[in-house]
Amino acid sequence: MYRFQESLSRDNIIFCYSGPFWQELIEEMCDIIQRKIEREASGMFAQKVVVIFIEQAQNIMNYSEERQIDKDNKEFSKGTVLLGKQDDDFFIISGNKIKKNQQEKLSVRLKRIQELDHKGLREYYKETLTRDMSLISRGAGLGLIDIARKSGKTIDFTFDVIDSEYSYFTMKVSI
Amino acid sequence: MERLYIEATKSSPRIEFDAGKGVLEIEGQSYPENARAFYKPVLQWVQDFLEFAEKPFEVNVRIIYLNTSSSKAMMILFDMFEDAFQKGKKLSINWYYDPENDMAKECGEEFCEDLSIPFNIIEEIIEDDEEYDEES
Repeated sequence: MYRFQESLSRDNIIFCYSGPFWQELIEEMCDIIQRKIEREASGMFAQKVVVIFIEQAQNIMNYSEERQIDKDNKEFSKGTVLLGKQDDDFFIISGNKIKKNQQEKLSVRLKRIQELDHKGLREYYKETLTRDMSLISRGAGLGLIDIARKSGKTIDFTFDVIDSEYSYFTMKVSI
Repeated sequence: MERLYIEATKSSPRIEFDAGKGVLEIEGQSYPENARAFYKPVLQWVQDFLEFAEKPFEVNVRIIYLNTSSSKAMMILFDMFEDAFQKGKKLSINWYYDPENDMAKECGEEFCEDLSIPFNIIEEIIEDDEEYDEES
């Protein structure tokens, strides 16, 4: 445990969770994160971090391909989320399993997002919003754009191959 | 039509609709697990009201945060209002934001851009009830 704690400390990890995600858990984690960030930054900044955290956590909840069943046979999506500090920026890293056939679409979307400036992101957001108006789906397309807009900083992502069917998607958002 | 009342939760707003007064209130956080399911009755209610009622309609929004799927739902709601407004219905939207909440202000400004309905963006100090709950 000592080495693990030292590792977390070295990487300036403020909050870390790995496991099943559900709505009430996300709500509780929001409170924890808000309070922790408020010790170091303004309330407004803390709110911004929380907001990005919600989008990332809800993406895990809605899109992770890794599942866990609890004692009442209820199914939960699994993933991992890390909140930390690097120099003057905070960062949130989220990770979850996805189907390999989702990787391309996600990659294209994120690459586009990486290349856009503030104005471009706003237009991309509006374009995506209008196109999907006929249904209120879970909104992952919009979510990623919104994360980029709110962070105003870099978004990095990687895909790790798990097997022939699945990949692991990691996304790091700097705030 | 009676009243629609949906109690607030940690991640979903209070919705209160008084058909008698023609006032719809939306207040709080909005990042429910399923925005579609949450906003569906609201959209239905509004649709029914707009179809049958003659009264002018006022919407008061005091949203702290809208996740993206809630934003979509809100856009659909506002589109319904816009439609009715274009057809001659009297409507107005009041978007309240706490002076410390830039995100809420920007959110309102963005919605406002696409609408021709009278849309007022108003600064108002919003009390956070949760603080009191923790102390009691």
